[in-house]
Amino acid sequence: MILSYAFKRTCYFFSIFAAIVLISFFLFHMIPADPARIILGPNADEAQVSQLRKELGLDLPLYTQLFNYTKDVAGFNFGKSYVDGRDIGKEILYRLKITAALTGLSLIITFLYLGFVLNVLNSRLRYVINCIDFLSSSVPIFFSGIVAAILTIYFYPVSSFSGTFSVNDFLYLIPPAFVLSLYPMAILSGVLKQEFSVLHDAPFIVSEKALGFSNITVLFRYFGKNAMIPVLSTLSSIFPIYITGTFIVEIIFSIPGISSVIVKSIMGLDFPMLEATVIVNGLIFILINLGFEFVYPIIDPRVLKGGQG
Amino acid sequence: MTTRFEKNIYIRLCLVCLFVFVLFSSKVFADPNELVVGLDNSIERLIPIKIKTPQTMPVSMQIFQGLFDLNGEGKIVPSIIEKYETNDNKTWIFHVRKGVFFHKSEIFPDGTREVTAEDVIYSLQRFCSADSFASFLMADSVEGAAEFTQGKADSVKGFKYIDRHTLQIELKRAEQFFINRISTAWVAVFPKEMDDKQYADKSGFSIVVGTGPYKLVTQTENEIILEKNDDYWDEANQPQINKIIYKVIKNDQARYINLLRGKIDFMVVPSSLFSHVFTKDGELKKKISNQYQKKVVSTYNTHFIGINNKKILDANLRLAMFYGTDREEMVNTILYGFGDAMGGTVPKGMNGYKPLVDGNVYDPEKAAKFLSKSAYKGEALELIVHDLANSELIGQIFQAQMAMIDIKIKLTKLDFGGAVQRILSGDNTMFSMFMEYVYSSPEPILINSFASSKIPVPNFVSYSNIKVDEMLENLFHIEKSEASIIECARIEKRIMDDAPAVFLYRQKYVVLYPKRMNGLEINANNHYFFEKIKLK
Repeated sequence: MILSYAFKRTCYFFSIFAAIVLISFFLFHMIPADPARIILGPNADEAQVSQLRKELGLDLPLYTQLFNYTKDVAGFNFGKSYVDGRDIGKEILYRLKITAALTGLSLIITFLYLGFVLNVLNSRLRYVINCIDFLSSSVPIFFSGIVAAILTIYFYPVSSFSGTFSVNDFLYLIPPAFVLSLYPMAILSGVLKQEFSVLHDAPFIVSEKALGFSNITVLFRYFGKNAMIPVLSTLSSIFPIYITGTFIVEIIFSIPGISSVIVKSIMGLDFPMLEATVIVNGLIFILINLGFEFVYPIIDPRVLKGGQG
Repeated sequence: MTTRFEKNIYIRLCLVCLFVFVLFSSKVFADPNELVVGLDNSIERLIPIKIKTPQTMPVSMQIFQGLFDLNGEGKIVPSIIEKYETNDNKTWIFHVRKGVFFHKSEIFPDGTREVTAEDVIYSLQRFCSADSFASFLMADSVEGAAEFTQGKADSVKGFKYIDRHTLQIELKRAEQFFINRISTAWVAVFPKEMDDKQYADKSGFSIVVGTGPYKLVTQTENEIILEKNDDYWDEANQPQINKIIYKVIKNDQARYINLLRGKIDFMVVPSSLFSHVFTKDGELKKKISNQYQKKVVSTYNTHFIGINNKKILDANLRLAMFYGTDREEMVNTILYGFGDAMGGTVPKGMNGYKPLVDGNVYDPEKAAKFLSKSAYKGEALELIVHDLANSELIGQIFQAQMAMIDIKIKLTKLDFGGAVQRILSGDNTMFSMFMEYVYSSPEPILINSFASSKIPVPNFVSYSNIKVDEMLENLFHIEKSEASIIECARIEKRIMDDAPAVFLYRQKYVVLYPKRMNGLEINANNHYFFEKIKLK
């Protein structure tokens, strides 16, 4: 049964991936612009532009271009950038590392915050947490991003991201990662508080306390373990927010991650880079979703039977 | 459930984070022997023949050097070519400077090697190749250059090797202004090893080998680090600044705040910041003048409203717009006065040029007279604007000024690439555009911009006039530069009588740099001679 389930889900996601490849190809080739002219600039004569068009394979019929393209994509060969001839695969990998560092740092901040929330749920600080959660979930990321960027410029000692993965680079990523984690933090904190209110007076918690276990043992071993299931389930559904959020945060903070390469490619009509970026982004989404699809049956076996998870 | 222990975990964690933060952030402030330059955009791959953006050139000119260069006054000075000679303006002999070595690099078996005539020929030929952005520079002049660009020849016939330090360039015909075509440091000398296939992925990124006063250490999209070249050939101008760090900070305000906070030392002031930086008299505000000084540079650029002469055939309408445009208002509104109003296209002073159509030629009475003679019926004329160089703002002011003389202008905003595409396709009526001239004399500018043979590129306005074509052709027969420059002024005046475009102004760039530095020289091609800076 599990194999049949895995096969169906994999086919489903593969069809989505194929659609992404096709749509990205046709979308970018329908733009009424000539990359050869953009590369050579307005001063180049028409013969020179035609020659470059030929070298880039842009003079071939669209179906031939599509065939060559899908063949290359199947082998994960995204070719060279139209604009500066750099290897697209390597470039995207480098950019992904930056975006992954930002997202990873953001996840760490989220979990640190959740740990803090877990600590103060019984104290008066929970009212402050409620206020923070309310603000974090209400303020749009582009606004909080701009406010954080301004504060960073004025009060933060690190002012730019060099891209060399130095310590300063990681320090620079802290404010944008914080901005990126605001909304998920509020959502997950809400789930945690909800679970806390349910489990706080649960008989098994009361009995563990009565048996003399320390507060920390009860908190992490019994309460935490039960509360984490809905938290992880919610995280799986809101994880794309981290990815889409990086598109805004990277632009605001001038971080050369995957979103900045998209903007740059659009401006430079660098079709191969743009197509590859869209495809890789799509692939990441698919893999994450596929991963969760395989985790769900482990958490809740009823999914395999077609029941409600 | 909260215990003292659990609280302590968080307190300890916060303290550790704070300690790490303070420890590492203390290293971010600049060294006094370093120069941190704020850039508004990332640079391109550092391959000389591919460079095209104004952001890249000031960086590449620290690493690569041209055959010649312009000094701060716009005079041609020798660089890799020490001297040249010609008897007939058709055959030119170039003598390569001896003792110039490329930067040390892994591409050379012995670490480095001397620049020879072969390197100069190789570089010039690459500039003529089909994948070069600058092939237009020599295509009309050098024997066999156009054929090479079009793939009809294996080499450029006009480049001839004489000996290790001498080469000959044969032109199609005599051209006394030939040197002015290649006087920019953009036409740089680089080793053929940089084009070797084994370095194809590194060349222009981690492998960037020139002869300039600075050499590349590292580069990423947001940061480029150069260090001084200890083996720099120019004894009189050995760099005093050890390291130049370029930081890309795209937001103008953010770059400026970083300057005020001392995190960057040097930046070009964008027009969006003029009101923050200058008083109404154009002087630096006190908060900035305490630490920084300004340098105003008159560059070779022109901003203009192009008119498609094939669409607007009515010369009277074009002349009405030409005289109805108040350039001075544009300069004052957009640039806080940091610009020169222009009636023609050639920047004043270029190779001693004195335009006959000079300054603000705004004359509303003349505009009204020409409009009344025109067949204009009040239809809206489309003006394409784009996202660079204040194009939209220029369009808005132009629209308002035209409304005052009853000409309706409709603005269409496109991205820069889209605007160029519309211009080249001929599907346009008018467009707001700018030119950054790499030539250093008026002749090639006028020939390229207005000769009928140059339609559609780079005669973007499709201007055609047989009489002007004859006058432009005659420039090739003038042997003396002074006489040629005077003739250029006459030709430009004749062209402006047809008003093929409305030329607006030449922008002046304002650079802010620390008071601890003296002797900064900048030329009209935006070459910052950092090696000439003396530290106090």
